[in-house]
Amino acid sequence: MLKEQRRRSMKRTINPLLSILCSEIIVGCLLVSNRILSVQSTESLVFLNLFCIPLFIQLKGASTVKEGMLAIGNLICLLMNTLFYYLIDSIPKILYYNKAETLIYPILNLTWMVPFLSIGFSFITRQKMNRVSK
Amino acid sequence: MILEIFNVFFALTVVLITCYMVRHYIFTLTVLRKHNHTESFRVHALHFQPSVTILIPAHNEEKVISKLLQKMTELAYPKEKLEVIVIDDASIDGTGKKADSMAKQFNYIKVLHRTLMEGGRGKPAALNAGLKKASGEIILCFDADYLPNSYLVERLVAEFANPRIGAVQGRPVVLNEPQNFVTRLITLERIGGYRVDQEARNILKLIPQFGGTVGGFRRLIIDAIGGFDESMLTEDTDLTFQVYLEGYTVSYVADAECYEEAVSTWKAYWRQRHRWALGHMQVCFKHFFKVMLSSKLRLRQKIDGLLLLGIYFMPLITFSAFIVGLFLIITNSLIIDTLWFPVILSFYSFVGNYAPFFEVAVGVYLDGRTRVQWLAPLMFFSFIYNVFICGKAFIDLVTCRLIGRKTSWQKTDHPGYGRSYIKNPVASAVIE
Repeated sequence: MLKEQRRRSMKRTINPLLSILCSEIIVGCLLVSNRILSVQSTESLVFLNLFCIPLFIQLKGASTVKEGMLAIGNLICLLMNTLFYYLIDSIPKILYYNKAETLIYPILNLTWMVPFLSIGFSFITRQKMNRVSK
Repeated sequence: MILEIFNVFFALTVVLITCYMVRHYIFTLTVLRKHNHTESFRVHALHFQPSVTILIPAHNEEKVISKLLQKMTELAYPKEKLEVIVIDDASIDGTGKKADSMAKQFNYIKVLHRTLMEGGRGKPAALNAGLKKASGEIILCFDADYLPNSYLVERLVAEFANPRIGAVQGRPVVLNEPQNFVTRLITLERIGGYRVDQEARNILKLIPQFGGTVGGFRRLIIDAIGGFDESMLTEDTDLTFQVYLEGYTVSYVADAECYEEAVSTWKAYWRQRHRWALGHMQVCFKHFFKVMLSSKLRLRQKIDGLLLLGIYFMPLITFSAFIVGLFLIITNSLIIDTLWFPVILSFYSFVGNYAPFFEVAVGVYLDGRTRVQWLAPLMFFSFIYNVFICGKAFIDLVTCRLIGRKTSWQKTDHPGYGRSYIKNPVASAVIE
């Protein structure tokens, strides 16, 4: 009983801290992409967050898990966009250089965003099913 | 000048694509919200038991017809109010014999044999022939490869207690999902289409679609419109809009599940989807202005109806937006860069309902499934394949109109392997 109470009070302390950490990661990713990387990277991050937040809020499950997933999504987005940025930067500067980003960014971003969401959703589903079976 | 025209075209197509994406995002959120705020328990109007006729059009279906008829004998609906009519539509295999042997044992099963001269002209013609013999107030339709559970008829028919309901649709569930990659993709498509799309349209009181099987309609409606239009390849979509234009609505019953055998080869997929695409395009030309000008539809129903009518044109529109956008980017003349993103996003959609990957993902989540979710990225290939299917369907439709030829019905083959994929003993007990 005492153990359970202690676990709950720990949870009550840790959960807000985790939420703050996740929010900081998201804001940090946005700032880094805006300052260091291209506009397209920031757009991708904004899209990811605007798209995922209303969906994730509605899913059943611990809010820390959903916030954690969103933070991981933002980190992957930043990482991938850094890669894309340097990849495009390495292309010899030909006449249409400026538009290469426009062309390639959405294609490359969706190649990781769709699998990320499908794996994320299957993870949340598994958690939901485990909870139901318990 | 040409570049300006291209830019305007590109912007317009992107606006249309975005409309669809927003629509499906709203659908997704609506279903998730309902899932969180309501109990799954549903009260059925079990006291309401009108006479029911089940029509089963069957053209060379000897591999699956016996099992379906066996399931018909196990239905819990009172047999004195039930009539099952098998329309043996010019079959050259043992379909007629198998149906006859069941009809001898059960007096509520009847068989209507159509000769090679009168039959084989497609499902709407077969259904019209069946309707002439049908005596029920409510007509339900089942394709021969479907396996209903015992209480399906009650669940579907209960909706008709509401006099405004003109037609009803249940939920098809793919039985042979583990068979191969094609059947798994179709499973995803079905989940997105029925678990989210149809359900959301039902909740939002838009236009849920009658799918031609696992569903039914009031006899008086079909009589009022003079039977099925035999020139239509998708008589179900045609009927959906007829129902709405008559002032009734279609209801979707999510817990009225019925098990189907999905096509398992790309060739069969092509044939089936080509017919659907061609049929939807026909229905679009037939009803577009009627829906727009109808006084019986609300504004949101009109918008949803028009978007629904245009679904099979979307792969072509998306693909042309892609080509034009590519050209504009390469020539450095795209005015608004961000417009490119929705075009790429829409490539991750299923064509039958234009359900994007997030809608499918949420449908799978609501069904409590996990591994099938991982196939969502492969929707891209399905979309590309469908671009060609819809392109061919559009060319065929235009050609038929120009030379005045009638569109011909292409039958979907059902090898009857579906039941062999039931591994779960509980599911097996329900279905068997």
